Amino acid sequence: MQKRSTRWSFGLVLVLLLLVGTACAPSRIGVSWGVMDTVVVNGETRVLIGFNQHLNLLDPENGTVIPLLNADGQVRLDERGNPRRWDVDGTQFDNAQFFARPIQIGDPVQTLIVPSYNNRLLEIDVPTARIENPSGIPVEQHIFADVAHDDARYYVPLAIGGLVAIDKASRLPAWTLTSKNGVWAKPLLHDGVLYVATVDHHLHALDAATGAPVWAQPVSLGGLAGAAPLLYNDHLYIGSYANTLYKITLEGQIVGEYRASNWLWCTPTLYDGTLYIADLGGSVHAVNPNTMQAEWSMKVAERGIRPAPLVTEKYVIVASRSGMVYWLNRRDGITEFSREIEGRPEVLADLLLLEAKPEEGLVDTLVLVSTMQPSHLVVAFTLDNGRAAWVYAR
Amino acid sequence: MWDLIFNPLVTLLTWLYAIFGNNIVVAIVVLTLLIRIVTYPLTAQQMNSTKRMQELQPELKRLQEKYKDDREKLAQEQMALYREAGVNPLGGCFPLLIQFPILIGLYQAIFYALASTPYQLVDLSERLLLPTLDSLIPLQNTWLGMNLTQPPTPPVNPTYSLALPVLVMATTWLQFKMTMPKTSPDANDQAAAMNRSMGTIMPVMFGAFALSFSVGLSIYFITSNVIGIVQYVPAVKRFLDSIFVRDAGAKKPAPALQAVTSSAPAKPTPAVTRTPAKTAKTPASSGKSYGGGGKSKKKR
Repeated sequence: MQKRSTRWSFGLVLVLLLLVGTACAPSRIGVSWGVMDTVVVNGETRVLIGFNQHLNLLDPENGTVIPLLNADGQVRLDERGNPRRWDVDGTQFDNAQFFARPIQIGDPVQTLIVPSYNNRLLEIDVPTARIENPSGIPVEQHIFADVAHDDARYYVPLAIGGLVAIDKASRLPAWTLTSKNGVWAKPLLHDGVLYVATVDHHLHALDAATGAPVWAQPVSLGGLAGAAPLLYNDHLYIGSYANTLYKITLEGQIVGEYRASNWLWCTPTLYDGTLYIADLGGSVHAVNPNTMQAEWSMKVAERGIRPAPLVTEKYVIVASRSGMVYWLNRRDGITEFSREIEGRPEVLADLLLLEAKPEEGLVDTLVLVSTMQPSHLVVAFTLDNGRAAWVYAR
Repeated sequence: MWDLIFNPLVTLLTWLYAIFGNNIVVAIVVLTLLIRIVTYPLTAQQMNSTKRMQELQPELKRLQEKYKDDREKLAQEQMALYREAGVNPLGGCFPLLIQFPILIGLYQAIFYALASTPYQLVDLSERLLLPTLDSLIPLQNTWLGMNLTQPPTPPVNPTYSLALPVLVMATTWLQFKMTMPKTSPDANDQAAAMNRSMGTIMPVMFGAFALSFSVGLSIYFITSNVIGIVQYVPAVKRFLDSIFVRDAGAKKPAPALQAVTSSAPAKPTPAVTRTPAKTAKTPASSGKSYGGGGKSKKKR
């Protein structure tokens, strides 16, 4: 009797504590969003998708992971006779995670330099999908953002602490930029000057060779800057958490501002002399870069829009955190049509436009959207009518 | 729906961060203190209810023995006992149920406000209700050399930050000891056994949480526990009761129930068990003598 009572009470306590523990556990939301790019392999365009522990190359025609081929062009088989796929599994390499766009080396591309969240730059052999240097080029911190590079150095933004320039030959740090928080935006390299937007609200201009400041003072952006600046007509255009798109001269003077309705976390897209930018309040803005006045501004989505707008002759295409994709008329911002992604998963990664290539079997131009949900990691829509072409689930 | 609780708290925390010179630790301490003060009447009500239930245990046990073969009769007698004593058996749960979302909200608010990754910061964009706070993002999240967004384990934080899980365990244990009513050493008593189990498991579990969650949340745990402990220091409790709890002065049990609580557990106490329901309306047996709460309160 006594034992049963104790068991019961122990069980009850455990259930209660588990309930409390579950309720109090911080929401396990992810670190960052995925990244997409195109890579030409064996003369054919492939879609690269990186998110969390995997990096894959997809066939743009049907969204399947491409098979690996041997030297004779035959599909390689594993020990069970199944085809080997182009899949880099980060769990086998000290839990590597991929949130930044790889650098493509060679023409045709032979090597990818892949920034990994676990503090290193990995080198991947494209034909074999093999990591050549599992220990990688080490850096001191996590990497969220794309890495810039020139012939001499990699410029690696760090999640905390700033940026490190790594000499390509010696693979050692050449110089560092120290920042209170970190750098979550790809640095912009132009004429030997590196423009670096930091989480601690500043835009720096540095000599790419030495890291020496080019401006007397970094430009204060009034809020977090999470996306790279855009260079156009000798001016930099950059948005921040101060709800503002700034126009800055290459000498570091703010000469124009455009007020959006919420935080800005994307690089403006330039098309036909107009800047297009979306904000985390769900609005899209077309801005004249000379006057910094709106050509139009439209509240489009019920939740925020993080990715940069994808702009074509006819449309401005945006995707929101509410799992919707919108095709806006480029002239006036009116929504022409929209598509709901099944389950309404969040879309935070930049969209990718894949031009039709009938000679490679790709008949329609596609808009690729990457969500935070593995069951809809990449969804392809046709540009013209938004028809769902395929879905890649991991 | 949870956002209705989380978002105002995230905003309040960020506002306090600005008020207190961009010091997130002070903001966490002040917000925790404010919440604990605001919810004090509920805490007090819950504790009083638990205490009253504890006082009825001997009599409940006697009823269980007496009617062990007749569950229906047992239930009736128990209800009659509760009614006469002016105790609602669920009275301890309702205040807790109201407090629970608030405390979880506070906990989650700290987590959201200390956003340290791109995804967390994007998420924060929908949580700050005052646009003037935008320029504060991201909040400065280092304190005494510790990164508040990371667990206290090296190498992401210095070795000395491991003191925090120990403090979480110690203060959880101490708070538990102070707030739980004294139980009978009788090993057959289920409530006592449960209390003993909780007293052991809870500090260990919260210590484990503190090890795997961020340092900022450990600070919240410690602050919350310390405030909980201070609230139960008799002088502080009297002071708080005098401000927040109606009928705080009327603490002394009614004579009828005093008879129950002081009697031997197995001994029948006719004054309580057989008093008809209408007796509860008499001043002596009403819940008034229990310091307020429940049914009797309404009657006044």
